[in-house]
Parts: sequence; structure tokens; C-alpha cells
Amino acid sequence: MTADALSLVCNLGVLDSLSEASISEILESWNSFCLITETIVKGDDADLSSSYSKFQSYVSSLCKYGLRSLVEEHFLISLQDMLEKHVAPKFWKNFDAYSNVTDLEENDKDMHEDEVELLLCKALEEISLEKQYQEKYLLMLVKSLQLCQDSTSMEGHPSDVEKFFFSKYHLIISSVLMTTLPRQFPEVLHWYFKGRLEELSTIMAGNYEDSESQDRIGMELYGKGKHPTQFGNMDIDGSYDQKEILENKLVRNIGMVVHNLRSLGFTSMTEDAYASAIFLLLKAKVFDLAGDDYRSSVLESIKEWIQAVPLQFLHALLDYLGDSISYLSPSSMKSPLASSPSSCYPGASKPSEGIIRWQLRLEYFAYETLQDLRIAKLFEIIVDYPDSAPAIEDLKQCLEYTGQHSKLVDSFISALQYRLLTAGASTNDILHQYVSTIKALRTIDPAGVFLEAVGEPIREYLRGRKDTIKCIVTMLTDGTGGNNNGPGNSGDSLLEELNRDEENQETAGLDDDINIDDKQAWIDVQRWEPDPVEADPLKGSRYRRKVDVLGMIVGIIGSKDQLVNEYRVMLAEKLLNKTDYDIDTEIRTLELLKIHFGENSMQKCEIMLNDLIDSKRTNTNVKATINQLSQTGAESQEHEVSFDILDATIISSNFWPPIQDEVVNIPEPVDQLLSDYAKRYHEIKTPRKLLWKKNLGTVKLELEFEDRTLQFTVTPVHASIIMQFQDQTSWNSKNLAAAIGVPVDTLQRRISFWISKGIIAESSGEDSNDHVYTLVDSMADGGKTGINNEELVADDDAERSVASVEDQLRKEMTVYEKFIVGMLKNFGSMALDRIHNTLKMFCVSDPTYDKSLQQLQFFLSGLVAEEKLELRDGMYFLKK
Amino acid sequence: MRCFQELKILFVIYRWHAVVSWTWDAHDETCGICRMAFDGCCPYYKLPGDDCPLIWGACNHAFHLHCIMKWVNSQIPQAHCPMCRRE
Amino acid sequence: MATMNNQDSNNNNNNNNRQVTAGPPMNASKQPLPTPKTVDTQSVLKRLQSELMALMMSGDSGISAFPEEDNIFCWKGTISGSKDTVFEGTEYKLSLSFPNDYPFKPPKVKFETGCFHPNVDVFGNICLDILQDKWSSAYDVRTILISIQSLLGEPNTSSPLNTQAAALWGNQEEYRKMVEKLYKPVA
Repeated sequence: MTADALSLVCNLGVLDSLSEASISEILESWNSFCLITETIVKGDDADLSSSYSKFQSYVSSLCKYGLRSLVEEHFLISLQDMLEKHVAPKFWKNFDAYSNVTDLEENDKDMHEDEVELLLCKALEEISLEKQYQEKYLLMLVKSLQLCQDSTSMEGHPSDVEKFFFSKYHLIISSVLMTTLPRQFPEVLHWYFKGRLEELSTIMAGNYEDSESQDRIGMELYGKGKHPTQFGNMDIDGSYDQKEILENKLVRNIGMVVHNLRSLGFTSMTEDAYASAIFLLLKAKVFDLAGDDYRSSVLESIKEWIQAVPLQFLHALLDYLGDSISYLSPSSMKSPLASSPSSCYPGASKPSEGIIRWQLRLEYFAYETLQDLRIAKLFEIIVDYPDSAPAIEDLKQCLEYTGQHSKLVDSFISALQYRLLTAGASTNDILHQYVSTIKALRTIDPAGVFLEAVGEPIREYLRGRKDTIKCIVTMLTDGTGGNNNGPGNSGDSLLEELNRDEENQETAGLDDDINIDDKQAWIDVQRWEPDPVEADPLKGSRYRRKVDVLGMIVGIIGSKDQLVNEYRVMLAEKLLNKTDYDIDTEIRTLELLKIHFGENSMQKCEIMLNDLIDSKRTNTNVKATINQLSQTGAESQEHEVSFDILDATIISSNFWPPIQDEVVNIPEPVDQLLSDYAKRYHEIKTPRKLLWKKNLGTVKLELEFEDRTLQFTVTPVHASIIMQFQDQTSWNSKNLAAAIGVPVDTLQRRISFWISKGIIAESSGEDSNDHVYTLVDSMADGGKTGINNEELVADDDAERSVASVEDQLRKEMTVYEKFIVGMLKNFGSMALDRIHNTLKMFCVSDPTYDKSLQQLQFFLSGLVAEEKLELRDGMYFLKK
Repeated sequence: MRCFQELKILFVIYRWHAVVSWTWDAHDETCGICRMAFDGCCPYYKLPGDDCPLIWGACNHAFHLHCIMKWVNSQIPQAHCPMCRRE
Repeated sequence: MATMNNQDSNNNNNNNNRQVTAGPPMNASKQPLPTPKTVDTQSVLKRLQSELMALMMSGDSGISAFPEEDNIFCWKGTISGSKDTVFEGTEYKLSLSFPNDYPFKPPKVKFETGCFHPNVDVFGNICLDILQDKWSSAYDVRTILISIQSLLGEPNTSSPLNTQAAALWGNQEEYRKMVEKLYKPVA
């Protein structure tokens, strides 16, 4: 009562002018007022109406003496006192059990959620009831005050007075609760909303799929009593709109809770709680929908879900609270979804501004979440490309919305470094991933700006690998893409695919200035703006043109000449093993390469292919004229081999890569055929003649055993070996090697083919270095009997017919050395870059100088070390 | 060690695809005028062989047809073989 | 380089056509063929490149040459005096400049280092038949250098450019002294 005393002191001036009687009246009224206020506020008095009239009279008498403010203050303080001493503690007591929320959270969450729900509802109901009572008391005061308003000239309208008191009261209640807030309460709220939203989501999911089985789930849910029961033991008439009822009920329940919380002053805390619950749920949903499935687009379903669950919930909630309009703002924010039909608001004519704002928030969050999820798994997604194209497309849209491209670059580069650019990964795999990366990222990054950053570590790494060029060429030109288990196993070479791309783009008709603008926009990320959503897919392909996949592949090696040279070696190998002159594929590939590398670079390859075409014609010609001769001439040749079996590929060796020439004695009859063939050619094509490469070519032969026939396709050396066993079934290695005219070690390497086929058996001879080879007459393992066995000799390295690029490289270095000595001899001394430029200038064919300055420096320092050159003051001299 | 056991195995070659390179039947390897290989082609033509034939003078020196034509044209009124100065 | 190559192929095509449609060689010859210079330039380039390659790979001792930095039509050469001649131990720089219709016309060859020799004048001009009327397209840088190298030891004193040298040639000992006295190698 100290406050009251203080108030009395303050009114001392008034007291002076009062009579004794008045003073006693005031005192009496005051004391009675205080007493009755106490009883009222405590709610002890059952008969409010009787105490009301007394209350009213005390109030009016006190007002009469101008003590109105004193009355008001005392009453409010009494209410506050009550709140502080009883209502608030009682309310918070409900949540004591959760004071250790963080500990409990992990254990049995589900159980707690249910409990929390019931508890919260009950507590809120109680406190709301208390509040209602207090408001009723407050109304008593208001009414009492209004009655005496006429006598004392009070400002304002009666309803203003009421409003004034109620807002004051609300301030009191919320500040009381806030000051006594236990720390776990926000957490409790969060749990509550999370639980309810999940429930709602489940129901919505049922709605979504719209099937009867979902109805049953709804029933079960209802039956289990998982739902709040406060609102209703409603009857369910049949199964019609059961879910809707459940849903409405749930929303109403939540609405009630929100409403109660708000009226207690927890407005922002409540909103935080359901917002965070919604975001959490959304995140879970994105994870659930996106998961590890990259082969379908999930963005649409996420957006639909946002419409179906959280937005509908919010819509219902705001509707229930009746304040959906309160969010109205003049801003005309445009949703990226504005074009899509918003049919998801049954019963609602138009989404309110508040809802749209929520939608934007939720969508941004969803985009960002999905984007982060996809970026984290980008490596896998690209491995899966192009099957994972939908995921890439999603990611593209997300990034356009969020503009966080740099996240992608950083994350992807580190993934590459950990997972791809390691010793364990094959060059083929790395290349395929590189190409997939280019293809996938050009969707996201049409200008190739980020691609440049991502590609560089891969290129850098590949440059350190020896087989890179070879793998590149295989990948470019081989139908299988050089990797059977890799993606893109369509039978088309990468080159053809690239060309097709290009053709498609050419037909798309483009204007360049737009591209430049785009590029600028991409470089200047600050000013970057997302493409309009309505951009059509055709436009996309226009952007794609700017990323030159082939250029990026050539960029790994640095020079197209090396690539072309490697291709030539491979082409030679392939052509020399052809038996049908069928080079359609090779011609197509060459044409494509010509487009990309220029006709001149491919000239030698073209001559090689031309040789095949000429060979076919000449071969027919030669054989036809020989057959005529043999028919008219000597028919009685002892060997039965006819010219029918012989075909030849006639090459212009100057234009082919160096060919490995090995001497081999081929079977006599065939040798005879070859020289007849050459003679005939010389007759037709004088003064040109033929030089046989007897170790090269392909032989198809048949071994007829008693019980079966085996067919083989082998090299001439293999054929020559086995033919030796026709007349003599057992040979020692020295004699056999001599008969065939090859070194013993070559023989041993080659004969292993026949041993592995079970045709020849090997045993050790008299001397330890000697081996004896014997023809196997019948096969021990009967598994293969009677089958026509077409075998192809595997292409092991020892059987290459063309000198490898490395061999050529070694040769090149000798040429460079001679050139360097030559120039230094005539110019005295030269600096590094002058030597470099001079080599570039004059060492232009066979070999073409294509080394970098660093490589040259390295080479020169080697020559200095060999004491061939001297280096003084940055100038190179010949060592005298 | 020889094995005289008679085996009823028949070896049949039914296809022999050989590889051979052609060359001009000349004594020299390169054309004395353009310094390119005879088996290659002169600077004026792209395809070797039939499209870029050789020609032999009375002195039996060979040149790319196109090269010797140019030489002869440049030496009017009288052209000698670049190798041996014979007419 | 790519553009150059393209040009090359075009030129070859042009050339093909020209060869087919051109009249008899007699007519075309009087004024050295009114054909675009570039055509010949390409083939001269090819020939010089292959000569350079051949020269570098030949490994002849005592002769060497290399094109100047940016022009394959101008070479610098080096020859050393052969053993058992008065020029033994000396080294001479030469310049070779090739005409656009090389090898149908000879290159111009001059001594850059002063050379006291009956067939070389004070300006370095050389009197050698194969560089004038006896030129043949079968000659190349290598054979020219070898010829000049042997010319050093076997001068043609009957029609000298340097009469003093021609007169002194008979006295090899004095000649040797003169060579040593006048020899000023380029640094």
C-alpha cells in the first residue's frame, strides 16, 4: 500500500480544501474500494453483480473528489499484482517439465510433441480464461467510471476510454509474462508448431494424392487421437470431406493457439516460432523430394508443395485470425510464380499481400536449400550427366534466383580435387567428367565464365598425364567414346555430337549483340540479373553456342597439331588393320576434324584415306587382270592358293606416320602371290612399284581339326608361325624363328597367342634357353568342341604397326638440337626467346616446333649440361 | 626332335590382307627441283601418285612433271637437265 | 600460320587451274610468267624449308647456314677453309639472298668477311659459274656452300676479280701470310 500512500501525499493540495466530513467520506470510500477491488480481482466473490453496485458507488464517490486517477491506478495495479503473483506463475508452471528441453529433445521427441500440444492448449485456455475474467473486471471499472463521467468533465468518447484501459491492460499482461518468461518457452512453441505442421503436411499429402487409401490414413490418424480434441467430438458424416474436416479442425486449433498467444502479447515470438517450423518443414521436404534422385526435376513439386501445405496453412491461419489484410503494403512485388495458376486457394478469391510475401520468402528459401543440396552433390550429378539433366536444370533456376554462383565454383572445385584429380582415376574418366562438366555447366553458365574457373584445375591436372592426348583422340573419334561404362554410349563419337550441336545452333538464328550483353552481365556479377522466367528453351541453345566444347578439349593440350598428330597415328593403326576398305566412318570423322582444325592440318590424313579408296580400286584392277592371265596361262600351279584370297592396302608411305618394318618370312605360296601382285601392279602403274610390308596386315585362317574347325583373324606373323606347323608339327624355338625370319624373342612373344588358344603346346628343350613347340592334335578341354571360333588378336602394345607418338617426339628433339646448333653457328649468340622465335619460324614441318618457352629452356639447359652449349649473360653460345 | 605323327589338321588361309607401299621406280628419292620426295608431291599439287607424276628426261633423271615444266619454262630458249646439263 | 596455310591451299588450287588452262609454255616464258607472286612464294618457301631441314640434318662439317630471324629468303652462311689449303683455320661469313623464283634462278651470294681470293672482290662478290649462267635448280644451299668452300682452295685464276690475289696465288707461302694478315673474323 506504499504506492497508495504516496498517491495520497501527492493530492495534499486537494485535501486542504476539504471538510472533515468529506475527508471521512473519502477515507471510507477508499478503504471500501480497496477491499472490494481485492475481492473482485481475486475472483473470490461469486456474486459479481451485488459487489458491482457497491464498487460503482465507491468509485463514483471517489471520482467526485477528483480521485479518479488514483482509482484507475489502484485497480490496474491490483490486476497486475494478481497476474504477477498467481496467473503468470501458474501458467509457467505448466512448462516446468521442459526446463531441460535440450536434453530431452534427443530422446523421445514424438512423445513430447504430443504432450506439448496438450499442455500448451490447456495452459493457454486457462490463462485466457483468467484474462477474460480480468477483462470483465476491467470492464466493471470502465463502466463505473463512465457513469460518473457527466459530473466530472472527462475528455474523450466512452469507447475511447474502454480502448485506453484495455490496451493498458494488455501491455501489463504481456510485460508481466515477458518478464517472467522461462527460457524454454520459445522452444516449446517451436515444437508445437512443428508437430502441428507435420500433421497438416501428412493430411495434405493425402489430399494431394487424392485416393481412398489416404482417407483411411486420415481415419487412423483421427482414431488414434493424435488430433487435438478440444474442439471437437464432431460427427463425421460418411467419408466425404473427412480430410477437410480434419484439416479445418487442425487449422482452427492452431489458429486458436496463435490467437491466444497473440492476445497474451506473444505476437512476434509466435510468428518466429511458426515461421521457423515452416522453414524446417520446408527444408525437410526439399531434402525428401530432392534426395539423391537427379533424373527428375523437383523444383515444380517443391513449389506445388509450398502452395499446398505451408501457404494454405498460412492462408487459413491468417484468415482465421482475420488479419490477412494487416500485411497489406503498397509494394507491388511480383512473384516468380505469378504466371502459374494459383488454383491452390480453394475458396479464396485472391491471395493477400501477406501471403504473397510469405510465398516469396518460402520460395527463396526452397531455391536456396535445393541449390545448396545440389551443389553439394554436383560431382555425382555430373557423373550422371546427361541423365541428371533435370537436376542441372533445377540448379540453374535456383541460381538464377539466388545469384550465388560463386558457391558452386568453390564447392565444385574442391570436390574435383578430392574425388577426381587423384592418381586412382583413369585419364578416360577424368576426360569424361571434364566433358560432362562442360556440357552440364554450360546450361547453368552459358558464357562459360565459371566454367573457365572450374575447368582449369582439370586441364592443369590432365596436362601432367602421359596418355591424355591419346584418350582425347579416342574420345573424340571413337563411337564408344573410349569408355564403355561411361555415359554417352550412344555409338556416336563426341565429335559427331559436337557437330550436331553446332548445326542445331546454326539453324537457331542468332544476333550477336545480345550475346555480348550477356557476357558482360556474367562477368559483372554485381549487376547480374536473373533471366526472365519466360525465356524459352530455344534461347537457351543460343547461349550454348558460346561454350566451345572442342576448344576446351584442345585447350587441355595447348596445340591442335599434337592432337592431329596423335589422331594420324591412330588413324594409321586403324586403317592398316582394315580388311574391307570400308572407311565411311573415318571419312566422316575427317570431315568433322577438317571443319574444326582446318583442311591443311588434316591433309596427310586425307591422303591416307585417299590411299584406301585408291587401294580398293587398284586392288580390284590388279586382281582382275591377274585372274585373266592365270586362266589363260599356267593352270597347274602346285599351291591351291588363288588370288581371290589376297587383298592389299597400298599406301603412300610419305604421308603416313613412320611404319614399323619388320622382316618376316611369310608362307611361300602367299609370298609368291605377293610378288605376282607386285609384278602386275608394276605393269599397270609403271613406273611405280610396290614394296611389301610383310609384317603388316590381317590374315583370316581356318584350322580344320578332325572334330572341329577353328577360325582366327591374326597378324601375318601369327599366320606365318602357325603355317609352319602344317608340315612339321614340332619345332624348337631357334629353328622356328629362323624359318620365319624373326628374332627368337619376337617369336616367343607372338607364339604365346597360339599357346593361349590351346593350339600349340610349349615344353622346354634340351638346353634351358630352348623351347619346343608342338602342335596340339586334340583339345583336352572339350568345352569348345565344334564351335566356329572367330578370334581377334588383341592389340597389345608390342603389335603396334605404327611408331608411337613418343618415338616421334624423341626424334623431334634431335631435329631441334640440330637447328639450334645451326642457328648459333651462323649468328654467334642468341637469347632464349630469339631461339624460340626462330624455331617457330623455320621449324615448320616434320616436325613442327610446338614447344613452349619453358620447355625450350629446359631442353637448352640439357644441352648446356651436355657441354654442347654455353649460357652467358642470358645468351646461348656454341661450346667451342 | 621331329614328330612324324600324321595329324589330320588342315590349315586354310582364306583371306590375306596385305599392306604395301608404292614408290616411284626412280634412282633418286627427291625431286631435284622442289626438294620434295618423289613419293610425296610437288608444291603445286596436293595428292601424290597419279595426280603428281614423274617424268624422265633423256638422261634418265626424274623430276616431278610440274617442277620440270617450270624449270624448262624458266630456261628458254634452251633448257638443260638441272642435274647433268644435258638438253 | 593457319591463314597462311589456307592461302597456300587456295593458291595451289589456282595454280592447278592455271596449269590446265595456260597456253603452251613457250608463250608464257618471255616475261617471267605474269602469275601472282604468292604462288611461287609458297613453293619457294617449301623448298627453302626442306633445304634448311636437309642442311641441318646433313651434318656436313665446315659449312653451315641459317635463315635470318624473320626472313627465310635471307640466310647467313659460314664456311671454314679446308684443310691443307692456305685458308685452313679461317672461317668466313656469307650472305645468301634468294629470289622469288628460286630455284629457277640462283641466289645472290656474297662474302661478309673480307676474303683475299682471286675470285672474290673487295665487296665480297663472288665469281662462280654455278651462281651465274651455270645455275641449275638442282643446286641448293648445301651444294653452293660446298662449291664456294672448294673454290677457296681451287681458284680460277684465268678471270680474276682480285688480280693481286691471282698474282700471288703461285706463291702459296706468301699467300698464306697475306690471308692471315687480312683475316678479320667477325666477332
